[in-house]
Amino acid sequence: MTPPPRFLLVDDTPAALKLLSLMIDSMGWTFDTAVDGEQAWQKIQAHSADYYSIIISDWLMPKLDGLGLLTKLKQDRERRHIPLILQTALADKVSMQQGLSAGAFYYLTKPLDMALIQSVIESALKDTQTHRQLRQELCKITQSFLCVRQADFEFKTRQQAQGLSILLAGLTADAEESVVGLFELMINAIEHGNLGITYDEKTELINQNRLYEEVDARLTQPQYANKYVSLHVEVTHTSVNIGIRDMGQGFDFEQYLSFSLERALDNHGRGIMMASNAGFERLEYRDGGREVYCVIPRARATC
Amino acid sequence: MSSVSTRHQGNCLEIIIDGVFDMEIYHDFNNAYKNHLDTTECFIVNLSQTDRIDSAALGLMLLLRQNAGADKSHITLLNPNERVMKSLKTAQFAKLFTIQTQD
Repeated sequence: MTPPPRFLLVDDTPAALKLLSLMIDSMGWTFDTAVDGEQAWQKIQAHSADYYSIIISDWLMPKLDGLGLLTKLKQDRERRHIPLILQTALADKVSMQQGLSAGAFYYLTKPLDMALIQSVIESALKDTQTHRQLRQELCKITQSFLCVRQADFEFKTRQQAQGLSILLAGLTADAEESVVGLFELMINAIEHGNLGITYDEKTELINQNRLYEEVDARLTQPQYANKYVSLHVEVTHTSVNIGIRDMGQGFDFEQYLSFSLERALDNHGRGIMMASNAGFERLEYRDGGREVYCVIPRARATC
Repeated sequence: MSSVSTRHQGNCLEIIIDGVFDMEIYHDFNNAYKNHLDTTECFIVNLSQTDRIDSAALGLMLLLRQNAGADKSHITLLNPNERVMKSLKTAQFAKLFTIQTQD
C-alpha cells in the first residue's frame, strides 16, 4: 500500500512557517518542519528517498538557502525526483528564472494564495505518484530480465541501441559505467559498420549538426535498409558476455582503442576508447572489426 | 530527461548539464552559448549534476572549446563526479580544459 504523502516545510521565519504548517494541516497532510536549508537537508538525508513526497521551502534563509537546498537535492540521484516548491518574497523575473532553472517544481511568491498552493501541491503529488508507479513497473521488468541466461537481439537505430544498452547494463556489476561502453560499441556498429559513415564524414556531420539527420536518411536508403546489428548475450555465474556484429566492411580498430594525440581535438572518435575503459574485463574486435566481443563482470545474482 | 540551463557568473557563462550528457542535448548545449561567444570571456561547464557522459559529450565540449577560442583557461569543467572524471581522464581532457573540483 502506498504511504500517505509527507511534506517537508522549510522557513526561517517562525510566523511564515506556522502559517504554512496550518495551511498544509488544514488540507489533511502530514508534515515535518525545518528552520533553514541545512536542517532540512539533514532531515531529508536521515530518511529514505521516498519519505518526503513534497518539499516547500523559502528561498532566503541563513546557513543554507532555498536555492542551495534545491541544488543539493538535484545532485542526489535517489532524491532528485522529490518536487521542491520555492515560496519566496522574491517576485522579480530573474529570481523566478533562476529558481526554475535550478529545478524548482514551482515558484510561489509570498504572500501565499491558498487556492494556488493547493493546486500546485495536487499537481506535484500527481507527478510523484506517476513517477513512483513508473519506477515500480520498471523495477519489475528489470528484475525479471535479470533471470536471462542467453538472448539474441537485432537492432538498427540509435534509440534501439540506447534502450538495449540500458537493459543489458542492468545485468552488470556497475551498470552506470558499462552502459556508456555498451552504447558506444553499438553506435559504432550502426553508424560506421552498417551505414558506412566514415570518420571524416562524421566529423563534418557533427560540425554541421546533421549527424542524426544523415543517420535517419541512410536507414531508409535501399542499400542500408535491410542491415541490422546482431547482438548475442550470455550470462555466466560471474560475467556477462556480449557479442555485437554489424554487416559492414570492417575497419582499422586498433588505432581507436587508446588515446591518440593526432585525434585529440577531433569532435568524435573516442567511443571505442571509452568502451575499453568502461570496466570491461575483456574487449576485442574480430573479423576485421565487424564484430566486437566483451566480457563484463556480472551483477550479484538475484535469480 | 536531461536538461541544459545557464547563468552568468561575472564575466563567465555557466552551462549546467543536468542528467546524462550525450548527443541528445546537442541543440540545447550549442544554443546555450552560441549567442555569447563575442561577449563572454570564459565558460564554465558545470558537471556537478551530470550523471554520466559519452563520447559525443566529449565532442560537444571540444566544439565549445573550438568556438570559444581554443584556450585552456577559457573553459572550466566544474565538479565532475567520479565516473565523469574517469571519462575526462581517459580522453586526457586535462590537457585541453581546466578541470575544477570542489570538496
